[in-house]
Amino acid sequence: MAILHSAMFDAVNSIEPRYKPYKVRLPVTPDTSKEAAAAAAAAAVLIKLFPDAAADVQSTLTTYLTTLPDGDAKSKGVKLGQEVAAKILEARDQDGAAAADAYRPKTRPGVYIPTPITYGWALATMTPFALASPSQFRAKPPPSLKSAEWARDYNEIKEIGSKNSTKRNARQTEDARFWLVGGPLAYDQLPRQIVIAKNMDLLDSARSFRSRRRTR
Amino acid sequence: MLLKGEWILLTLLLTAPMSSAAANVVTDWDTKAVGIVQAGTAPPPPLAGCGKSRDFEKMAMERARYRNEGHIRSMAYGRAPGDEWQRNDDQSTFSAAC
Repeated sequence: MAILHSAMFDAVNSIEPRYKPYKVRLPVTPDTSKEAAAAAAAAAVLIKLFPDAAADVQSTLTTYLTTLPDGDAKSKGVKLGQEVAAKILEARDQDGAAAADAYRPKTRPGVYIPTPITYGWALATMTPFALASPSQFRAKPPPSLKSAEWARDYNEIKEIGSKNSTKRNARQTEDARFWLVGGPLAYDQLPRQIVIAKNMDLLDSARSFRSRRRTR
Repeated sequence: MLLKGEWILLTLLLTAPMSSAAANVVTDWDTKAVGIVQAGTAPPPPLAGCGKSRDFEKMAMERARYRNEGHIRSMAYGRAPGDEWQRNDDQSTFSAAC
């Protein structure tokens, strides 16, 4: 999603250069269609990263482009979007995100390790989109098993987190349900609503998504 | 009773294009992309055996970058004790049916 939104942003920002690009600013004429550029950039990224969905994505792009007036502006927009997407994809091609799972949990009694199948092991070494290094804001290790902090946290979770807790209020239950869902299905609804509510123009819409997606 | 100028103003207000907020190409393609990403990270079907869980894990590894961690339920590392967790890449980490 970060690649997709970076590509859309850099494509639109090439036409209306109001912000520092993420990776690419290509020379284009101002009459180039921003809509066509953004759509073509998004489609190019999705087709490359999700080849199984290529036919579906291409169909969506074709349908979308029919809503835009034919002409040089649209043609130049499509070309720009594809070129920007290619450059973003190339820049991220060796970022380490697709590295094989090297996580090998080892533990001993009393030491917690995550029980779910591992997620994000590559982030430890992947080239970040925005951070100076993957470890720039790395969290500290958990508190000692013998510490008062650990005991306090454990008891708090036990009291508030248990299924039939009498200490958890309705808002906390709602918060817990909110955080149960993760990933783009949950979180992308928020920037979408903000973009729409604020009636952002195309460039600021793209920048908003791009900025949110480049948090690591 | 409305004066002529007030009628004109009212007419203009009622007939003026509404500048309502709406989705745009960025939000539309974000929605499209989320759908594709989700389709690639849907929870596994009921596991029929180790083979299926192993297939799913391979798929999950390939698509790890796009995984929605909140939708994949843990099967745990049930059989892996202590320091013997040096599993091979093609070994399943699921314990549900293996």
